[in-house]
This record gives sequence, structure tokens and C-alpha cells, in this order.
Amino acid sequence: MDFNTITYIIFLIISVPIYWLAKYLKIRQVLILFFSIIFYSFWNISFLSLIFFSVLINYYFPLKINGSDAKTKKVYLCLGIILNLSMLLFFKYTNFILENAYILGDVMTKGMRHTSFDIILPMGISFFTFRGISYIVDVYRGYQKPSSNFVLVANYIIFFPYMIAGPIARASEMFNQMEEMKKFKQEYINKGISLIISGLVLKVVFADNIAEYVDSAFKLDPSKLSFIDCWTFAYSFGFQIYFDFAGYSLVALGSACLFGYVLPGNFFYPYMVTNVREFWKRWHISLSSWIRDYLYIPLTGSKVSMDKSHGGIEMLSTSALWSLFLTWALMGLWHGASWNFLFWGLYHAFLVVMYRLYKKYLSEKIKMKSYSILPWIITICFVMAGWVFFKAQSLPFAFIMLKTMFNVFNISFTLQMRQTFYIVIFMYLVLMIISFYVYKIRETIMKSKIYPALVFTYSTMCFILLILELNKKVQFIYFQF
Amino acid sequence: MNFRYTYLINILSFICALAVLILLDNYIRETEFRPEEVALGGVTKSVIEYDEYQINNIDFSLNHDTVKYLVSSPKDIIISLGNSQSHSINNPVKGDRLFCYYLKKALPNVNFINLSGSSPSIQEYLVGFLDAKRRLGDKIKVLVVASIFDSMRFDGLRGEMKDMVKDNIKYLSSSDIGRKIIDENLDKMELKETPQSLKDKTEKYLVGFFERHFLVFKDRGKMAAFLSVRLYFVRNLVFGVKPSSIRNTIPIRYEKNFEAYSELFRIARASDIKILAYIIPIRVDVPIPYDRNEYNKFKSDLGRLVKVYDLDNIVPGEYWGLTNKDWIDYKHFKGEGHRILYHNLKAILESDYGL
Repeated sequence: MDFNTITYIIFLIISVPIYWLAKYLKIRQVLILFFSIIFYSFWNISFLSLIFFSVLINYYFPLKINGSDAKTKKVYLCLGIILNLSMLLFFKYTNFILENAYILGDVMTKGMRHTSFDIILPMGISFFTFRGISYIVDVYRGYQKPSSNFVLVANYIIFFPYMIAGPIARASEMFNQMEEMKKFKQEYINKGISLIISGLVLKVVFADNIAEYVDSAFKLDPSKLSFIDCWTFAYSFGFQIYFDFAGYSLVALGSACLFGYVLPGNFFYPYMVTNVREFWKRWHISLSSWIRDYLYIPLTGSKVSMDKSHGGIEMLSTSALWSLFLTWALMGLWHGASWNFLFWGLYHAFLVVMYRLYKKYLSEKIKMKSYSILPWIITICFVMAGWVFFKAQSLPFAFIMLKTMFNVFNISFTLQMRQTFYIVIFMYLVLMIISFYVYKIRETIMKSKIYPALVFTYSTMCFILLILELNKKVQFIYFQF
Repeated sequence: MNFRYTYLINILSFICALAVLILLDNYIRETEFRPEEVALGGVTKSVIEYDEYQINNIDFSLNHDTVKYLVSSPKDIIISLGNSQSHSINNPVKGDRLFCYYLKKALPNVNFINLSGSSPSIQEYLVGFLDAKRRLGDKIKVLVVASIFDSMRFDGLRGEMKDMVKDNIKYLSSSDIGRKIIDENLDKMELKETPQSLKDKTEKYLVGFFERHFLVFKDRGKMAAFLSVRLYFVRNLVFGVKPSSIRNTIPIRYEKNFEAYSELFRIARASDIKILAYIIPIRVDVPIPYDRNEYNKFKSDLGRLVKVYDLDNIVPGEYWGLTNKDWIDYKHFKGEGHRILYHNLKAILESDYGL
């Protein structure tokens, strides 16, 4: 079921009290599993067997790794990863691989018979596969003890708040919580509801209200778009995907909070940064840290540290660059089986390299004042431009738009949508900046006498907006992953 | 802040939100707010005309009884496509009728039917016409098209016409513009006609349940529209947008709507349906809200597709009214304007179309 539906709200209203009324840990664990199965069944009950298979792999292999010798451990590790990835490859990439194989085949031999398969992509497969892989690898590395509790492992893999679109929590973040018999606290409900409401407002009010226009914008002939059009459309999709995904993540965090679980945050004002490396520390944080720990660092040959705060590696050697580009290409492809996503990944790899070069060679020569907005403008523009690959119908479409966007010698201001659309996107930018600065001074606001009144007004407005806007049929963007 | 207070604030704000919405709903019901009439400007009212059948149909949809009557009648059909000018009267007084009513009465050998919508795009003309043609068969003999420059700025179809796209996929698929319309209005799941999942069925049931038992829930769409309209007024106030503000062409939409015109006329000609295209009357005794060059280009572009009767100056200034903000209403004339339009169209139909 989708988060922005009445069904989901009723599901929570029923499941939360039942959970807290259970007096034994084992019963609570079984209840969580039961609720997660119900949640997934609402989408498609026939894929429960796939879920079960995934849980089985990720239950069995960590146990086998533990207590094996070094060589056997590696075998189990590889098998576990291969089986997880095989599921992902089959459901997500079969047709993409076939399509490209046929193109290649057509070039080499004519008259090749083309076949494609009508494969339904199981919801959340990219996310639960990655959770499984991280658990197996962490056990192999010795960072995580495997659990013989099947229900616990199943709950970790398919916990319904993060089942479909993350965050990609690690076993180390969840197992302790799931093995703890928590006492009910009112703050779980208060905080959970606040997060859910905030998330739904971002999704149904901010993201969904521009979704239709963004879709229309990206269906226009790109060769007829002006400089203003292209930049506005790029920003519009950037805002839509941010509010959609950040909103979803907040609902996931809030839903988990209702049951007393703390999930890792996934977004933190990613567009209010001054360099692209900082962007990736604030955008889809659980994915970028997963990619760093399970793909990028191993590719560079470094050891992984459990301290995730060390961020990126300042390396410009050939092997580091090769690892960087390969990692980003795969990261791009994870988002979708198309060349657009691969190019998006490579684009961001390029931006990271540019930033590293700047840091190494130019940052001393070009000293930006700490309050200068130029680094922010440059970063947000390049990040937003990258979204064109994500949303464009094809690579040529994306390149035509980017050419217009960066052609500063031919700036046209003709508008291909109604003026209101451009005004709204500009207002979104302004609101985002305001909300960031409100967040920065939140301590002061919280101490003020009018704080309760502000909270009351904000909550009332949110409730009004949600009652009016909930259940508009616009799908979470990240569901396709 | 203490969590106990947060809890209390959450409950109070939920109750307050409900109270606000109940009050808003009551206000909307008392004032009979209709979102579709906002664009009419308050003092202009939409009208539905009846004779043996419903003569004009808003939102381009023909109701079942009208179709049944028209199909069983031995008379040929004249179908007219238009905007809100077709179905509304500024400051209506007793006795005022729409032009389509007069035409229906004056042409006893045919059945005259008008399909219109507020601020339509030409894509909506195309889909509305295709749907009417599919349901009425080959009885349509003349297609009357009210050509509005403003329509060239609009894009897409109103939500209510989605089913018409589904019903006419076969006809739409044969042209580029038709395929674009399908692509923009139906997603892949709808095209495949995938059966509803459990989540869709459950959600549908729950929404229906809440709508049946809670008035506020049922009127959410209207309340959201009410608030949107207020935001629209704020935008107009902030940016000084009035009915007299110049509206420029949006090139891509102009081309797309032109493509829709081409397809509309092609389909009509292929079915031996005569076309009467006319530029709608607007208020011309004051500066018009268009760029003159663009407006003239629109007329000449359309003239290359079909013979166009330029009726934009047939209604004198005294038969136009104001909006509720005392602004000039350029597109909705008073009752006498409908009479004038009727006389002009009747003369054309009799002289040039053998009626």
C-alpha cells in the first residue's frame, strides 16, 4: 500500500495499538513480520515467495559464514551476494540487457529475432536486496554477529516502513532495536505523528501539485525550449523528486517511530550545500553511505571503517578515479535500467572529480568568503542540471536540454509553459531557503514564548492541507527503484 | 517543549483543522461555490438549454439520454464546439437564451447540439468531437467550431475527459497528436487494462465510505478548488494580472493546438462533414488582451487550414458586461450578444451550407 492513502493511515491506527498491547518480545517480533507481510500483500501477494526467498538467503548465508574458515567464508559471501544480485538483475535489468544485446546483434548480424519479457518489477527489490547484501558483508567483515532468529532477520529485511523505498538501514542499526523489549512512551507517538504529517505534506502538497506540470514539461520538444524553460524544468524536477522522496523517508521514519524504532535519517537540506561532496552527504544518505562502504571503498582497495563520518576519500590517482566512475555508473544504474541513469551517475562522478581538483589545486588561490553565495549557486545549478538525465525521455533529449542550459551565448527567455509554473518553482526555491534558515535558528524559536502557538498553527495548516490533498493519485517516484 | 504539550497541541490542531474545514464547507455550500464558474467572473452565469433534448453540454460530454434521442431521430446533426462563451450569459435577465437554443429552434430540419467547456484546449475539441462522432454515428453533417485565440495557450485535457480518451483510443492512435494525447492522459497500466490490485480496491472502498458518511470529505475537491482560486487571486493581485493583461502565445502549445485543429478538420472532411469555423466575438471597442500581430497571425494560420468567418467584432460594446471586480469581460456577452451570434451563424449556415 502507498503511504499517502487512507488505507495506510488505518493500517497504522490498527497495527500500532496491537503492537504495544503485546507483552512479549517474541510476539512483537511476529507482529512486525505479520504487518510487513500484510503491507506487501496489498501491492502484490504473489511476490511474497520472492520476499521469503530473499529472507532465506540472508538468514542462511550469514550463519554459514560465521564459524567457517577464511576460504569457505569467501565462498558463502560470494554466493550470498550473487544470489541477492541475481534477483535484482533478473527483475530489473533483463529487458535492458536484452535490448542492448539486440542493438549490438543488429549491428553485427541482420534479422535477429527480438524477444522481450513482461517482467513485473517487485516493489522495493533494490532496497531489500541491498539490505541483505549489507548484512552478509557486515557478518563477513566481523562487524555484525549473525542472528539465528529467523523472524528477526525477516523483520530486518522487510520491515514495512522502509521496505519499499528505504532508508537502507544496516543490521547494526536495527538488530539491537528489534531485540529490545521497549516500554511504550508517548513521545514515540508524538514524534511519529509529527514526522508522518511533515512527510505527507512534503509529498502530497509540494511534490504532487507540480508532478503533472513537470511531466508535461519533460514531454515538450527539447529543441524548442528556451534557456529559462530548461533551467526551470530542471529545478522543477529537482524539487519534485526531493519533496517526494524526502517526504516518503519522513513517513518511513515516523511510521517506525510509532513502534519505537529509530531509523537513520535520509535527507538533510541537500540543496543548501556549497559543494557536490556535501550534497552526497545529505541526499539519500543511506544509499550513498551503502555505496561508499560496500562498493567504492572495496574497489579502491581501502579498508572500510565503521566510522561513517570520514566522508569521501581525497584521491586523484588513476585507480581511485576508475573506482569512482565505476561506482557512480553502477549507482546510476541502480536507479533505473537505462542509459540515462548511467549517464547521471557518470555526471556526478565528474562533478566529484571537479570538486577534488578544485580542492587540491584552486581552493587556496580562490578564497571564497564563508558567507559567499557563489559556491551555493554553482553547486545547486550543477546538481539541478543533473536531474535532466533522470527525467528526460532519452539521452538525446537530455543532451539537447543541457546544451541549451549551458549555452550562455544564446540565452532566450521565451516561455513554453504558463507563467504561473515558473513563479511556483521560484517560490519553492524561496521557501526552501527560508525553511533552511528557520531550521538554523530553531533553538532560538523553541525558546520563545510564541513557540507553542507556532507549532499549533503549523500543525493545523498541515492537517488542513492533508485532509484536502491526501489520496491524489500520484505515485512515489522512488517506487520504480 | 514537553511531550505532553506536543501531544495536546497535535490533538487540538487536528480538531481545529476539522472545525475550519467544516466552516469552509458550510460557506461553500451556502454561497453555492462552483469552481468551474470562477473563470466566468462572478456575474456571468452558465446556462443549460433544453428542448426535446439537452441542447448544450458542458465539459464536452454528451449524456446518455441526449445520445439516445439524437441517434433515434431521423434528423441530421449539427455539432458545435465552443468555450464558456457558448454556455454562459453575462448578467442574465429573464428571457435570455443561448445562441444554440435559438439555432436549434430556427433550424427545424436538423438537431443542433453544442459541446463546450471553460477555457478549452483544441485537444479537448478533438477528443470531444471524436467521442461525439463515435456515439452519434454518421448523422453529423456540419461541424461548427468556435475558434478562440486563448485556447491556443491551453494544453491537455480536463480530468473528466480521461474516459473519452480510453473510449477513442482506436481513432486517436492514427495520428501523432492523438498518440500524444493518449500518452499524456493514460499511463501504461491503464492502457494494459491491468486489473485493480487489493490496495486500489481497498482505497476505493474507503474513499467511498468516507465520502458517503462525511460531508467534509466529500467536498474536499471543492474546498481545495476554493483555496486554489484564492491563491490565483493573490497571484493576480501581486503581479497585476487582469482580464485586460496581454496574453502572449506559448509557441509549443500553439503548435500542438494547431496540430489538433488540423486533425479535427481532417477527420471531419474524411467523414464528409462540412466545417464552419468562426473567430468568436470578443469585445473590440477597447484594447484587446492580445498582441495584435499574434492575434492576426492566428487568424491567418487558421485560414490556411479552413475557411474562417471572422465574427470577432459583431457584438457591439453595449452588449458586453463586466466581471464581479468591475473589470471588462472580453468574452462573455449579455443575452443580446447570443442573439447577434445566432443571427450571424444562421445566415452563414443558410447561405453557405444549404440549411
